[in-house]
Amino acid sequence: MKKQLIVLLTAVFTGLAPLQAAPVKIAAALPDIGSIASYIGGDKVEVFSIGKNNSNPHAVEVLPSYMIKVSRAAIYLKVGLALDQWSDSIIDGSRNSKLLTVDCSNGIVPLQKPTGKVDASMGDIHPDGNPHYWLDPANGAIIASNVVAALKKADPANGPYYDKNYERFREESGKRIADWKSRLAKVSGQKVITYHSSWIYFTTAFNLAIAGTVEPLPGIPPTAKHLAELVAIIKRDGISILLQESYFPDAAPKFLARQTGVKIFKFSPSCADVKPDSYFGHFEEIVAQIAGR
Amino acid sequence: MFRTRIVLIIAIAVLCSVVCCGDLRAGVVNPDISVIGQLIYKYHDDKAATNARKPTLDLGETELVFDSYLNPYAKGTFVFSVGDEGLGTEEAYIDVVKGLPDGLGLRGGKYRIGFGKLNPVHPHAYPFVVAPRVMGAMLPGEDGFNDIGTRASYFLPMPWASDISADVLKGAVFHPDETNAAASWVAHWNNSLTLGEATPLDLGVSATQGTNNVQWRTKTAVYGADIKTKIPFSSLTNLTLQGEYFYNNSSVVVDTTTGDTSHMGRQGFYAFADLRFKQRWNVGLIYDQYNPLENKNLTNSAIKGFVGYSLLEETTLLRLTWERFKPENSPVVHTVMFQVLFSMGPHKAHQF
Repeated sequence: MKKQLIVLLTAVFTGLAPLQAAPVKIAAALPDIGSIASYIGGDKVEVFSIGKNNSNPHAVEVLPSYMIKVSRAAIYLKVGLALDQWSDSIIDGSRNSKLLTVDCSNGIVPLQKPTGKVDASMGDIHPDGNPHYWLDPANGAIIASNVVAALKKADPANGPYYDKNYERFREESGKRIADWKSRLAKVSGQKVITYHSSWIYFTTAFNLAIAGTVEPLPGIPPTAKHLAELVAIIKRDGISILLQESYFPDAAPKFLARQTGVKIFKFSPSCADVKPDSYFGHFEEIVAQIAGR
Repeated sequence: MFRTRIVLIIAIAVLCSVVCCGDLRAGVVNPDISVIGQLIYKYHDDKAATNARKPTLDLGETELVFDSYLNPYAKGTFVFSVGDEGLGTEEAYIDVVKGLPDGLGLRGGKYRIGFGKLNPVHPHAYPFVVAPRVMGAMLPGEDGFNDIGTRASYFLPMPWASDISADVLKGAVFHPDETNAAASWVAHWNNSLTLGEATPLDLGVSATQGTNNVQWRTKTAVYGADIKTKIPFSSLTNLTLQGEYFYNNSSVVVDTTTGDTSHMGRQGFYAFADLRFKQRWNVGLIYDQYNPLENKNLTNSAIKGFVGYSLLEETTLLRLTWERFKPENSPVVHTVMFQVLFSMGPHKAHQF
């Protein structure tokens, strides 16, 4: 009896007792990546996002509370491609030696990767390529594969569970992409205008062509001359879709709409939250609005 | 002097280019390098100072920042400033960010002291051109409270985000005219809460004590409390409210033959509101008042209005500040400053 008690106490104090394991805490730089992590991790994870869907992912102010939340996390999911350099400040400030940091752009084929010398005369350009890769739904599976690898390192006991959810994600993703493509077939091949260069992955995925951006260069506000050129392009090419990120000012898109009749579709480039269905739900909302215009 | 400054800047640029050539050599990794320059146009009507009612143009201080991981556990940061007085080491410190027990951080070197909210921030990150006058009147140091020392900080296991830090400093900043050293200390406790969905609220208290006269061992102690919040109205518009209160209690030798001392307690505060709108604009007001060192029974006050525009994040920033400064026993001084801030290199995230 005494021996059994010693074994039980030893097990409890060394964490070997058959108690319910605490969820793996995951910090995601953006809600899209967090949503995918929630899908893969299910009830074995607890996910929170640093970036919000209504704020510019290029410029997130580092709150002390972020560092302390990340100090209690097991995994940090970065966007990478130099979008979330603020993540590095949060990770360093968290003083979390055990934190597993994952760059979710691993395996992504970046678009608009500049060649030759890159400097600020080209605007706020990213030397490693356009970082808004999560807006191609096919890249969701690549992000998911990075999440699975991280989860299997942090929580190997539940590896088969994460693998199973990953397969489910891929299957659902494939079905949904086919559905979205068929619904957007009527606009396939059309030219569109975007505000910032966030939408290149989305337009490439659904065979839309970007004829111009409201910003003359990434991060640079539109000038009157540039807007006049866009008016000419929209009229010349009969463009009917303008994709605007929700955190940019309305004045320039509204001017273009008044001058040309182009329809403004205002979306956040990120999903609303980290719930498992939010990543797909975000595309569903975008597709529904464009297809039903 | 101007020529000396240009030579220094060129020398550092050459050094940077040599560092950048390290790409070609195995085992050499480049640090992040950024340079922040500024032009300041100033006009004031202070007849007691030079250039009253004459517009002046000044280069201000040029700041060079190098930072990088030193090894898997520690980061190094160097901040040099180049101004009329030549090249100075504003900061040079090592931060141990990993490898210590969770929640514990260590810093060693020369750095801006984490007393309150504004002092640790580099002036280029302020929403206005210069720091409120109360900072210089209450804290030790001519250009901010900056000293050589060691800091330990720890995340307290609270339900909210709570960080406590303690520094042991060389203390020379408390007695700049003496060669003998006497150590000083600083403590800071910051608490971060989130109101509603996305309104951060930081509350902190700070304290420091150092020797202002090594021979007579007289002390200066400063106590502070700070508060900051940012209220979001939309994705493009938010209002930052920030304030700090200071109480400075100093013992001063009044008779150097007997060593008789007198105690002087002075207080002061600043408060500002900064409205950011249309992505690139900010406008605000800052008020500060304090008892000056010369006479604790007087109260000086200043009110500033400021407006700023950033073309591309922080690479090109324009700021205009108007100030009405009212020393209690002197005429009012009006000052207008226009600053062009330009920077190159990686844009580091700003801490709230």
